Amino acid sequence: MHENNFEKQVREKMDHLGFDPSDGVWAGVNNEIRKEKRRRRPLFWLFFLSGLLLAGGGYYFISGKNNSIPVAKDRLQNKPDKKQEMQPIYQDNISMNDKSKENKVPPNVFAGNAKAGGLPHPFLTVKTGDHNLRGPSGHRFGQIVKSSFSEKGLQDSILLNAGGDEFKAGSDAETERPSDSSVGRNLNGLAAGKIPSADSAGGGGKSGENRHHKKSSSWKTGFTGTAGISSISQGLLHSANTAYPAYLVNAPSGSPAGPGVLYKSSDLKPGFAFGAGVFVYRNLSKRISFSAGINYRYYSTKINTGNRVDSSVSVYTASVQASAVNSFYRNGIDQTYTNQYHFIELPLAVNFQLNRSSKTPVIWEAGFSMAYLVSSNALYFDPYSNVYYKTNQQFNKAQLNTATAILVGFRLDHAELQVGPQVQYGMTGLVNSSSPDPQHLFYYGLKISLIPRKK
Amino acid sequence: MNQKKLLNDCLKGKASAQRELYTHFAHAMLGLCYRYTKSMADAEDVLQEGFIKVFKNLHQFNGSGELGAWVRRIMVNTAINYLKSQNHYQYDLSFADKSLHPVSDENPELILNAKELADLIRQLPIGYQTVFNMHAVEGYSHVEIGKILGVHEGTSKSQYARARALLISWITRNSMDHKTGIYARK
Repeated sequence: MHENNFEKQVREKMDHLGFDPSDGVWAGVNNEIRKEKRRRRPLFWLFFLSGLLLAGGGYYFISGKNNSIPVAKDRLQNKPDKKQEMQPIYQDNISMNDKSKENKVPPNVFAGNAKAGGLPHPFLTVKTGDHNLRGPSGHRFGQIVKSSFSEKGLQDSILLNAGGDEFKAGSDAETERPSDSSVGRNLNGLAAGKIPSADSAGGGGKSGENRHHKKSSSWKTGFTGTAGISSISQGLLHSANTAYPAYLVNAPSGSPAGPGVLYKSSDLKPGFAFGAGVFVYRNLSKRISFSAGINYRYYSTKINTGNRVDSSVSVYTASVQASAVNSFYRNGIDQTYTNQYHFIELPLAVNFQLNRSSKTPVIWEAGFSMAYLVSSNALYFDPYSNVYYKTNQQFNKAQLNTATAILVGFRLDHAELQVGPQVQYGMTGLVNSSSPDPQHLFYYGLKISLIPRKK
Repeated sequence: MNQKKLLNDCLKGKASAQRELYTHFAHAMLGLCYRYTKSMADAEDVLQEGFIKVFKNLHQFNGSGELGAWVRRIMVNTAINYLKSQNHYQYDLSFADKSLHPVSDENPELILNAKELADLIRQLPIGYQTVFNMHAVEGYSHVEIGKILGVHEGTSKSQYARARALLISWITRNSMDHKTGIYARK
């Protein structure tokens, strides 16, 4: 009783103890908290700009590109004689059902360009069904020849570059632990530098209750799902004008249309995509968290093809100049074929909370993922044989993707739901480097994350 | 002071609100830091470090408790961490020569003012000073003190008992000096 009386007196006295700090204390505090804000600014802009880049690329891709399976630019060996120079022949003897689809280019355009420059120029636009092929002809253009393939009214005109020039494809909770210079220790309880959480703060400084704080820094688990549209991009910077690989340039005369003859493939159309997975995340600071996970992802694209033929045909690949496949699809518009890609991916992302609301946080997610192509039924187009065929050799199975999303969080009874748009771009070409068209996977759609909460 | 609005403004990074919060608590918190340290310069260092932590972790305070108590806890943490960074601290904490400061059950009446009492507390060996502040003023149990300081509960008890005895002896002497006029002439 007496003991308590002494402590009580001490406590009462000490409650009234106070001093006015010097101005330097506030200056130091103010400087430090402003410095913290300045440190975060570059991180914000890094995410913002990367997101802007992806979004811009996505918009560019979605709005303006006409995608196709590879074909186009080439450097051929045969040099035409000078009489043929700058006299592209546009031979339109193909019976197309819809003439309006043809993209006619006045011959004088090419002639004019060539004359004006004295040198090569030029982009020759060639009618190939409803596609355009353009090629910067170094010095000469070759001739346009009729496709040898004429089944069911499908005829494509093709460009024969006899001038040796290039063609271009025309279609394209733990809380952030403040650094404590004077301490730097990490102990349990109050002395450990662990700042009292909001839950435990209510106990007051003089009570002993709630002093053992629950660790808010542990990894938390969540589930994620995506649904949207996938397509093929030839690159965020419209890198469609890649050169044809040598194995196509040097195609043998035995190819269906003769040496240097390239057929044009169908347009690639976007297809459905979805994904599902599980992830863990951890708070790096009050508004930044890091997440990692594992997902299954399905992407698809659609193309028009002709009939399937179960017989042998020679195709040209990077590894071997000619190889035989036992079944193929003809070039045509008879049916719609769905290219399917099944991936397992390991995403790593940083989430940046843009607002301060704990009830409806707006989160900006940006990150990368390593993905592995588990299986695919996608068709590869051989512009010399004018056929589509299945092959696994042409794909890069390991993919590096970059993705960004804006998610809005909602609190449910036992979980937090985050929903928002996501854009993902495959930085690795889908087909291997020997292909003239790297074909980057592009996805845009909705992302949903569910993070269970303990009651 | 509208605490909720002040907190929201602080979380938005408004400098005026942060300054207001600082001003509201700085006086009392410097008193707390003063009790745990040996000099005013050290106390101000702890105060500055503590307020930096307060502002960096303000989002954790959900308003269900008392903001003052939350800030106070951070200051105590910071002060203890500061003391732990001192090399001689662990030695002082484990130093318990029973013959030096016998336990006393006296309960003298405190006629000292707050600063005089605080100055006496600050003259205790740093281990005694810390344990005394934590138990007598902040109200931590010996079990909690043991966990926080990384010592056995018994050590905390014995440290406190001796700190208390030493302090009471000083207070008694001080009171006698005061009665005989010695204290008044100081």
